[in-house]
Amino acid sequence: MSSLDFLSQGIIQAFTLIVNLNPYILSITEVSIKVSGTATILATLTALPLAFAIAFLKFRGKQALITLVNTGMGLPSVFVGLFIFVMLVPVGPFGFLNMIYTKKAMILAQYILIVPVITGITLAAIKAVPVLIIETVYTLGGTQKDVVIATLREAKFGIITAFLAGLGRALAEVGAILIVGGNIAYTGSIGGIGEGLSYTRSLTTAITSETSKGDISTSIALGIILISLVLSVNILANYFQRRD
Amino acid sequence: MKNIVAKIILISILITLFAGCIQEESRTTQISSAPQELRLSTTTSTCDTKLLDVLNEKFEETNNVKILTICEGTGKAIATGELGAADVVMVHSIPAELQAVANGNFINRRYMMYNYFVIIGPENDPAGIRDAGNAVDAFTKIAAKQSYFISRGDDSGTHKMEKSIWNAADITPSGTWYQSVGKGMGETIITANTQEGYTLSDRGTYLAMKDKISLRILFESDQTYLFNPYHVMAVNASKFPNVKYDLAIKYIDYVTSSYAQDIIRNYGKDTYGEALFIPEEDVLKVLAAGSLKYAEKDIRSGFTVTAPGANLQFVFQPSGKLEDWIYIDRYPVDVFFPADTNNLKNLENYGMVKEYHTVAHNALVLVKGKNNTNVSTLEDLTKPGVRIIIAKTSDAIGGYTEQMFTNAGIMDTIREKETIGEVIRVESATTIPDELVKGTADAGIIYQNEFVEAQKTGKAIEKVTIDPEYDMHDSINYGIGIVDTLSSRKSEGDAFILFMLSDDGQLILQNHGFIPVEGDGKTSN
Amino acid sequence: MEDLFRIENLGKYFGNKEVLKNIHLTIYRGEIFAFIGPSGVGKTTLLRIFNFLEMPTSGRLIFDGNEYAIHQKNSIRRRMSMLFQRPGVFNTSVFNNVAYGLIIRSVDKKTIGKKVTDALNLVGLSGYEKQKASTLSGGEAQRMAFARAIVYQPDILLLDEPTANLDPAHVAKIEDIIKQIRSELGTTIIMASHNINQVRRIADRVGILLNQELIEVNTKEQIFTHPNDTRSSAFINGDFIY
Repeated sequence: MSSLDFLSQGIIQAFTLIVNLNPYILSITEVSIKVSGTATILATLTALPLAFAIAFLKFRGKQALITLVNTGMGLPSVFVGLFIFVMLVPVGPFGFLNMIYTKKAMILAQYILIVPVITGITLAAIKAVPVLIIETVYTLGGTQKDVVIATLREAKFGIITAFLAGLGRALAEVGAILIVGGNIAYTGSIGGIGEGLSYTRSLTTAITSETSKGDISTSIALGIILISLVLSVNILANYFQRRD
Repeated sequence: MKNIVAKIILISILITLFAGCIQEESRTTQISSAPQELRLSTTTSTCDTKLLDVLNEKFEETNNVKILTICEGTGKAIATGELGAADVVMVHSIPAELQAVANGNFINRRYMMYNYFVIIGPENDPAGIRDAGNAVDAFTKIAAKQSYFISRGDDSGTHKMEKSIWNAADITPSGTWYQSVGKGMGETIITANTQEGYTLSDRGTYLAMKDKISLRILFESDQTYLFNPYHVMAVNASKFPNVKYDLAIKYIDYVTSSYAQDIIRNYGKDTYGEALFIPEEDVLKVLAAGSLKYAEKDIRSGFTVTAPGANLQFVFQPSGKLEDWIYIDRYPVDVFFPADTNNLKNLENYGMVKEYHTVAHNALVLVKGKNNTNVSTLEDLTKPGVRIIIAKTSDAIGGYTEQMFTNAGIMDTIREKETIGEVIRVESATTIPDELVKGTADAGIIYQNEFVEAQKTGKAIEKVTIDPEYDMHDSINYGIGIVDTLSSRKSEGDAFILFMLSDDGQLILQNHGFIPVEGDGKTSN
Repeated sequence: MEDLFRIENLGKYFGNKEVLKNIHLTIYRGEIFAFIGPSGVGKTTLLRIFNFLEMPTSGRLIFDGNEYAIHQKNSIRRRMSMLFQRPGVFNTSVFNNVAYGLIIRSVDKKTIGKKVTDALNLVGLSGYEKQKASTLSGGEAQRMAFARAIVYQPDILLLDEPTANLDPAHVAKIEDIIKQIRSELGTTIIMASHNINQVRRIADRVGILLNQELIEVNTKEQIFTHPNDTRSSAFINGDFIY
């Protein structure tokens, strides 16, 4: 079959799978959204106060923390995956938690990866708030607390952008969750033989294994969904960035 | 302010960390309605053929279990089990499995199914392997022509098999024609397809992908090098208390049950016109003493004459080990063929064997390097300066050797010699001939059948005549019997035993250096 | 005249550079006091020190009879307000901007509503409540800043060159607003300017800052007609070209 046939067949079959709401593909999408979404929310809970502390507070080791955040932004995802794997594997120090090859482990790995991302962008957004605004708050009788609230309000869109950037990164990530999650699917013929519901199989890890099995139409379907998700996140982020 | 913020940060981190743990706790303490999870770590060939989806379904239903299948190569699958990240492992590389079991990481290893590897390649077969004599020959041809060969390169069972073939051909493949891709079987096949190169694949995965590729099977009939057996084993619970040991055992029992074996027998027939795997149930399984391995080919061809459709598979291991496999692991077996009838006697005492026969004897021979002039009699061993090489008593022959010396009245002298370093002890007597050729020692004691094999391969050793009274031929009794409690092919097994006891069978054993039995040799009942 | 704000012996170093020294000054309640002097002489710095946006290196600040130290900066700021050359506009409605000082003082909504309306009225921005503050023109934004600054009725309003960036029409409007704030609300106003004519128009008393020091303080009339210091007259007459 010619390569054009091969591609067009693959794409057509992919759309058929999506339109028919193929359960295998849906369950994989659900895992991706759950894992990356949860990880981003949790990461934001840590990143916001962290960025705030770096921006407004004086404390020992602040420079070290800033360096850590900057290094963190460039952490290779497989490294984080390796680290968490070694920690969580039953022979490892935290093996007793029985967390290896679970969605929780995937969330933890992505959390570590994107906390620096969200922190970094939030920090930039906070720093972008002009000194003039801050001094205006003071001159109107505001306390440091008022300054913080006002800064966060002025940086609101930047913070939303940070969250979306984290989410986009998490959705596109594959190395760490492949290692700590194991790309496992349940047994089954729910989506077709070999396509039971996803246990720790996300869009990205599924694309990896489906392609290597030669199951191109499924891969393309997953790819279409993945790129749609990432695009939506990026469009949203763009929108908020421009409102800033 | 600082304290509040620091607290917020810490709390958020703690929430993340412990949210995971708490949920996991409730997962494991939940009883009744929620299904349990069993982690099965296996090779890509079992996954990619999608056999497991059909096979696991019934087990999941019956036991309210969800099986989580982790698909990686054999090496990785075993490693996953050794890390405690899986409960049960299904792989295909006997040396790796045996090593892992010896390390104490797995227990209850059982034979599950098999198929054969095939060498696939482009239709036009540039290296001409269709005419090869065996797999080793095929690989040699490929290397000679420097045709593209795609290797799994991922320490999988297939990869290990491939390496053993290169080893046997005495070739270290290197060069641009040999590509190691480090991936699963499916992807490797696709790569080979793109490159129009050769690769070693298990039959199952190939059949499952046949329609997507242009490569075809070019060589397949080699029972030695292309034999691909799959085993399952449970992760040792004493090393990892959290593994689901009972469930793993249940699963192992399930896949070796008639129901599952039947699924395996039929899987693929509809889609590919032939089954992808052959269940172990369909195999006449003979667990035999290691010393019998030289005779395998002849026994096989001889038995095929009497029973043409027989699917005969041997496992050659030290007899004591086999007895443990049978008694402790309930390893699937039809005929047990150990080098000591006591192994069968023990199983009889456990109620697993009803009757057994002595099928052959072995004897000890005194051998020396061809040009050695120091030793011409058994008593010459006692001469000062004469270096002796014998097996440790951990190998059965070591015990027999000492018995022989005692009978000949020279044991005390030998013991003295041992204290002054003139006696070398080896783990396995099979290494003795080579040592004698090297001149490490003057003389040694080996099995008669080993001597016959050594002569066949032209080793430079010769026999020293000793009084037959001392050669232990009455004491070394090879036994054969059906393991009733585990065998599902008793009539075929009986046919095999009859064959080994028949003139034809006895002749084969004699040709390989064993001593035939007189009479019908029946030893019990 | 009541002493409202007294500065004694104020000095300020930026690193090794001495930018202000020996500043003695008393500000009376209800007056409009203007600092003039060449650009960069330290007028802005002085105003920022009054609001504790900068810390004096030496000297005392006494407000309403009590000496204020750095750790009390929050309370002193609550009774003051400051405008910069450009207003810092919050990214929200005009109403929310103006109401800010009242919101952080936990004033009730009803009162806030009334005071904001009054303040907007005073600066001529009635009806602008709902508009997004970021869409205001430069002049409108500065007027909004005035409204925001006086809505909570501070004792002192500090103005740092408030019309420097505005067109002449707005300059006039703002000068009117300043005068109105003093007359209607009784707010004491301290401003810095290098626009001598503006100072002539609206100030009561003037202080001349030259070479880090306050060389002369006097009423407007005296300063411009009979300055005591020769340097003062030189400056007023534009002899110093900066």
